[in-house]
Amino acid sequence: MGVATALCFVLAFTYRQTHRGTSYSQSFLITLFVMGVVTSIVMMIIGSNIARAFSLVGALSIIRFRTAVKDPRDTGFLFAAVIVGMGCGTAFYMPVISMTIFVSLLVLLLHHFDYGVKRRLESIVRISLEDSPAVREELEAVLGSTFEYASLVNRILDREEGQATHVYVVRPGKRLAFEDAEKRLLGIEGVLTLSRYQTDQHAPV
Amino acid sequence: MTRPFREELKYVVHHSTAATLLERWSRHLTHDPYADSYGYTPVLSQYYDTPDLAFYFEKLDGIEFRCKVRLRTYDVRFHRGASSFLEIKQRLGSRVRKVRSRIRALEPDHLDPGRWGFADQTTADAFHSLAARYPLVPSAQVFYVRRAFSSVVEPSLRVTLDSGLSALFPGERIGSDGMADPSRRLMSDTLAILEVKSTASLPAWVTDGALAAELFQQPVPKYASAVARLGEQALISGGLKTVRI
Repeated sequence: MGVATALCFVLAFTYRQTHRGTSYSQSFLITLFVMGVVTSIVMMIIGSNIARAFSLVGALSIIRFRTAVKDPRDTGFLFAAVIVGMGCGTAFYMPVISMTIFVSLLVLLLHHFDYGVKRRLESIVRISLEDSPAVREELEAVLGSTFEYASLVNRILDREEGQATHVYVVRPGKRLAFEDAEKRLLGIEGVLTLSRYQTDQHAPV
Repeated sequence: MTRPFREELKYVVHHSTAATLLERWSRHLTHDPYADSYGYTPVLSQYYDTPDLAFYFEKLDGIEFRCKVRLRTYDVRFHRGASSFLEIKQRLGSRVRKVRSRIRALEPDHLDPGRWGFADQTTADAFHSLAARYPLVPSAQVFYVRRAFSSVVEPSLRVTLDSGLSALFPGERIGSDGMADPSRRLMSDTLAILEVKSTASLPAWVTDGALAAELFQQPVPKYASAVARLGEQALISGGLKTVRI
């Protein structure tokens, strides 16, 4: 149990250091410890007795996991904690210690180098404009020539004020920096304001 | 006007999935005639609830038979020139029914139902009967932009795509920048709520399209999300003013 706790501590530390987004949960971290330690005891109880193994499967089947796992990474860490427990319960200390160190280092390295991040992200651009056909046409022409991809996803028309807000999802081209694209758009007569949001690939939907 | 019970399917979709699906369905659907030249219609709903948000908590508790009361306009704010409708939406399990009436001469105080002129007597009776049982007060507002389509063959089938959902306090006005405050957004700009509504059974092209796009139904409560975003306690303790009805 002591070894399982120590190894789960390493996993929990790695998880906490490399977590991104808004779904961080302390209870998930505690669950990692519980899973590791409980699994080690389960393995000790089962030993090499097949009857006990089948009874445990039956007994444990009454537990239902209703909590949605929000991030696929969480599943990986839970699985690692279970394996740590299995190894410790069956006295395979060296394999699980090696696995824990290797997996932790691997995850820390991948996190450090931001492996897998998409460099050219889509952005959301909100543009307030005077709602006249001429302004709209010019805006669409500039968007088409400035960005690799621009798709209108929303339009809010204020008839009283004669203003509209267009929301576009855009993908910047390879050559033009977004700041230059922004200058071109704001240079259109009739475009009033422009705001840009980066789509956050780390934040869960 | 009382409408029959209908089925509602709701999906949260990415804008690219929505575009693909609407392209696939394009020969079965026609644009809503009330939309602007781009096909978008703003929808602003002022919901009414009890001072302790009974309708909101009934939704959270999953009560089988529940209702919502809202004043709706197809504009960015309530004003005399814009058509406004009082809607009482009743839900029985997965089926939904609406009672709806145009409200005449809404200004100057759209939050005061005691001054409203109902165009439809059935809705007026239903509303006053509800108001006699529940002390209704204006609670959250929900704003979004809708793209609406109706089927060219099935008369009762409607498909809507709602995006840019935002929550507002009662009486609060949307800024001229079209509600840019990200803290009030109920979902990302890249997502939309796709709804398919029909009083008859759904045609195969709808279910085939949903299957091909790997959509799965999920509850998307606009009013409950808005209350949660504004804060239940903020609404209960300070935001709601009792209005004499």
